[in-house]
Amino acid sequence: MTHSIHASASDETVLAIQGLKTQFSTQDGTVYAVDDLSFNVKAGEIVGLVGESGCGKSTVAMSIMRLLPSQGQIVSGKIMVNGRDIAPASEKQMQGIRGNEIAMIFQDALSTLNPTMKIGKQLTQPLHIHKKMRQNEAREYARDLLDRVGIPDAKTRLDMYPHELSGGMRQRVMIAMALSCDPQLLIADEPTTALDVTIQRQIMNLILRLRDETGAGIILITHDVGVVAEVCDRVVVMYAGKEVEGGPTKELFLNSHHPYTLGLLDSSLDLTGDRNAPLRAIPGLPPSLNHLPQGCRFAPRCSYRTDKCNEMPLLEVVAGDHVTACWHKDALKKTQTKP
Amino acid sequence: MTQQTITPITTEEFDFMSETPRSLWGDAAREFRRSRTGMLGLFIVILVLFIAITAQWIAPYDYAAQDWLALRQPPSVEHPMGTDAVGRDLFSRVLVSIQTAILVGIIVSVIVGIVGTLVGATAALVGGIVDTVIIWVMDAILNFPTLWLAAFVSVVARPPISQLTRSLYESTGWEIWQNTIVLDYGVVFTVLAFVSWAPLGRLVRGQVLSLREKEFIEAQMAIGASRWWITTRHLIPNVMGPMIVQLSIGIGGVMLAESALSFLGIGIQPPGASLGNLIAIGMESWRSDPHLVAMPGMVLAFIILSFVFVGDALNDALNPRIRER
Repeated sequence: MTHSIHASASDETVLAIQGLKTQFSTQDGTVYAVDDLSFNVKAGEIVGLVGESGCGKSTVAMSIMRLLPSQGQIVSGKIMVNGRDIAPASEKQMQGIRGNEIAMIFQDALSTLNPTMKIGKQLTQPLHIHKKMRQNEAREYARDLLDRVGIPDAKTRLDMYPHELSGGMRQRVMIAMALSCDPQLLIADEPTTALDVTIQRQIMNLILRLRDETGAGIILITHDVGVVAEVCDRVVVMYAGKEVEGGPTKELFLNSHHPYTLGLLDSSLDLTGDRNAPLRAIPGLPPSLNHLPQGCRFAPRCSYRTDKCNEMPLLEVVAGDHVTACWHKDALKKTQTKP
Repeated sequence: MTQQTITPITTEEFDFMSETPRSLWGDAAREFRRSRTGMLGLFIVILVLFIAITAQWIAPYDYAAQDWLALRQPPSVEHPMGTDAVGRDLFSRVLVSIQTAILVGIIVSVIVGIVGTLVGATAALVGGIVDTVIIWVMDAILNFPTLWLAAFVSVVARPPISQLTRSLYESTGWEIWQNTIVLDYGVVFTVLAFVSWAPLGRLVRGQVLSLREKEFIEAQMAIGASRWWITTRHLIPNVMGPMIVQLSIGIGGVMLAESALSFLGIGIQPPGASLGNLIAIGMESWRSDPHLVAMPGMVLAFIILSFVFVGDALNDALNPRIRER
């Protein structure tokens, strides 16, 4: 099953991020968690946000949701949701948008569900908040939602507690809850990381199916390059708060021009490759976001590094939608080994 | 070795799951019934409540009537717990004292529950200087010996409360406000509430603080829930369980504290009846008439123990995650 490039992606842009800068003030100084990030999500499109831990992926999600912790702040940039900038929106306005226009799926469904509240009651919360539904109506709706996300015997499940369900079931409940008010944008923050591999596949298939049914735009935050290659229409590769490469999935992975993307691809398992070849890791760790290197942020870990890298490279078009921020992008194209 | 056949799971076996609608309290009640000590405790508590309500009617004698022909009698058929130095029936006096103990226990627990929850939740939700000041106050209360503090507060609280009852008498004209027993009760409620709200306040504050950091609260914000929605529908219901447990165990403690105050002579004074008071009076002649100490003492111990049993069973019943076992 290939979903690489989906035909249903329309031209309607549900999310347009322009020059987003999010910073945290900490005791060790300012942390530049997201630095000048721009990307779009169209209706029915899945955009992958890829990078190592601590690259600012989740901060992007929290900036869009406007749920940053108190030290965090959107310094500049626009977050256009359905054509309206929500970066300066008030908390009250955001309460009407969250769960209604933008919904979110979290990594660990067990800890994101209230342990003392039954599934049915939790599922109906957004319906009460946004649709002002009554108890009976909401319960009916919740049952349909559970059916839609493939939970058998939905009527019984409504009266169960989160701990009485399996991990996959709980994630389905989370998805049902996120979809309850038909959001135009869905942010999935590592939705399958806490699950078994077989369940991961089921959940990804479910997300794909629901995307087709609802036409919602989806941001998929993950560090699993395999998942990205399989489901995403477009990819934004983040490193240390910046986009280093972005473009249509196939083009980007087959024709990468950035050493970091290549490193990510190299360090993921490939069943068709040489099984005896050692898995290559990118040496070192991402820089701490309050002590960023001058110039290219990946340079300290990069094997192609030259003096030129002390200057910050800008995103430049390689082909069509495909952009890369690397001084050596042309040289890299030739040295690339993987098909 | 016989091969065991694996029977498919029938729907009947899952019937306990499909009973609708299941509620948190319904589940808790079902779980509570499984606890033997809890049910025993509950039985005694209900019995004690019944006694407290009907003490005046079920007591075989008037609790204050003196029978000079039956002084210091050991337990007998006519006097199941014997009589005291002036010939009053101890059983009747114990029944009326239970009324006092329950009244004090319940009213103080209600006050403590309200004050502790409000103050604890406020400290956690407002934070900053408010939180700091509330913690100071709670720590100050918790760090003094309870009885010492209670004695101190009872001295301090008596004049304003007697002023209050006097002005109430003047404005309403009801005789009851002139009764010294009412004053005693007022002082005891104030004192006990003052010394016992702090542990509950600290519990609620800690619970709210830890809950607020939970991911499910963030997830609630992500569906557009307001602070008020989260506080009333998620924070407070999640605190209710531990709070009820603390309170039901606390009722026993409050009763014990009331008895201790009365024993020391700063709680309910004669002619009001209190178990602590009975014990204090009995102590004067415990060598010759041990039943005057033993009977009220055992009754007090039984009641407190039964409240602790109930609290313990509630603790298991109200936590859905413990319930799995």
